[in-house]
Formats: sequence, structure tokens, C-alpha cells
Amino acid sequence: MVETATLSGSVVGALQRGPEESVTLSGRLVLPAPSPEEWDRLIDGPLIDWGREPERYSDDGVEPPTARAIRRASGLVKDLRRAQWPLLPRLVMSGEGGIVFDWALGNMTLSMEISGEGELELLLFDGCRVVQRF
Amino acid sequence: MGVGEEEIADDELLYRRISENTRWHQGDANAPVHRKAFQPNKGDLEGLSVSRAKYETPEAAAGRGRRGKSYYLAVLKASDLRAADIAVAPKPQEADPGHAELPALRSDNRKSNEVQGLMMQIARLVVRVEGPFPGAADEAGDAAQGGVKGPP
Repeated sequence: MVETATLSGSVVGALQRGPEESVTLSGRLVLPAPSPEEWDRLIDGPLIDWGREPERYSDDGVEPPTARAIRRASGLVKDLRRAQWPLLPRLVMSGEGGIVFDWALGNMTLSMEISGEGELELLLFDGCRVVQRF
Repeated sequence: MGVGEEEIADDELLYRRISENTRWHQGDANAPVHRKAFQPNKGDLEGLSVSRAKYETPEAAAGRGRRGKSYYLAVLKASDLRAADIAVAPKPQEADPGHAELPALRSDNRKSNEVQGLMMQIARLVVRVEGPFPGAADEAGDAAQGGVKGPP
């Protein structure tokens, strides 16, 4: 069991800005806030596909997302859309029945992993090093 | 010394097979590969499996995947892994002489911070991605026969 921790620093500061603001990374890269339709495409695309045909996504050593993980991920997407989260995640299957949301900002990567049982774990990477986990 | 038991040379290329359906790679050959492509699965007891490119064509390496599915190959260079202190060792199998493993990444430690960091590091060392190619195996471990190179 990992200990509870508080995220700090530019990653979360950037993620918490409202959609009316652009997110500026290192003063060089400006990202427009995603529209509600872009959030919806995450649900209408991979999440529905994974739920509709799980056997299509099963492979040697790869378990497709479970129904519980898909429900939790759909709820998380709706929460992020409602909270006007300013960056779309990269959404992939974990390979062990779960779903991973990744946000990469410069050298930092924030990763939210929903397990096959629907439990949520967050990892913050600085480059290739895990610096926070809870 | 048997076929496939010789040490892996620094200039050798290695393939890691990635199921197209996972979304661990999307886009062109230079698009980033997700670190999950390098997470050991429950069967990787002694190390993460890779294939030595000198023993088989990309089509044959991908062909070890299941028939009816498609696969990318993430291409890694042995010297890049070693420069990052990630060992790679030959582990030839009867039907797969080019099989090799990264012993630092195993099923028993796959959730650790260290391995999660190594997965991120390996993803950044990918030289290019090839494919997708069709899988050709009827069952797990059923090696494809076509395109296998002879012993070097």
C-alpha cells in the first residue's frame, strides 16, 4: 500500500487552471483547452470499444479493460470535463484489466491508473523517475 | 555453445512486440511508445521478453502473435539499453533461438517504482517502430514459421 501524498509543482498547477486560460509550458508551448466534444470522444471511442468487444482486445499477456475499470474511467472523464481540466490525457489500456490516463508536461508525466478492480492509483514521473505515488 | 546462446553484441537490434489494439503505439514510426508496452506480464518470471533482430525478420517476430491480430515492433538497440544500465541476456528457446530477456523487469517486481521508471526509460530508447504486421500463431507460443532467418 502506498502512502498518501500531496502533489505539488508545476504539473498540478497547470492541470488545475480553468479552460478559459491556455496552459503555457516553459514559456514556449501553448495548449488550447479541450472542448466538451473532445472529452466525449474519449468515451465514444476507446472506452465504448473496449466495453463492447473485450475479446477483441485480449491477447497473450494482455487482459482487456474490465467493465468495472471502464465504468470508473468513464466517470473520471466526465468529472474531468465537468471540472474543466485543461488537458486531454493519453488513454491506453494497462494490459492487466485496467486503464491508464497520462498527461505529459515537459519532463513531467502524471499518470492515473484505474485497476481492473476499479481502484485508482496516481504516479508522478520526473523524467524516468517516480517522484510521487499514491 | 548452442544457437542463440552467444552474447548479444552492442550493435544488435531487439524487437518488443506490441499488440496494435492496446493503443501503446499510435501514429507513424516515430510516434512515442507508451511505457506499458514494456511492463512485464505475469508470465515474465525471469525477465521481459524481446527478440534478437538478427535471428528473424520483423514479419516473423510479429508473426509470433496471435492469428487475426496485428502487431507493431518497437526496435531497441542493445548498446542504448546497456548505456542506461539495463542488462539484456540471450535466452534461446527451442522454437525461438533469438529470444532474449531484460532480467531487471520481471512479473514479481513489475509494480515497483524502479521498474515503472525503467519502463519509462526503455520507452524513450525506442529507435523506431515497425509494422503493423499480422500475427500468425494459432495459440500462445506457437511460433510463426515463415521468414525465420538461419543462424548467423
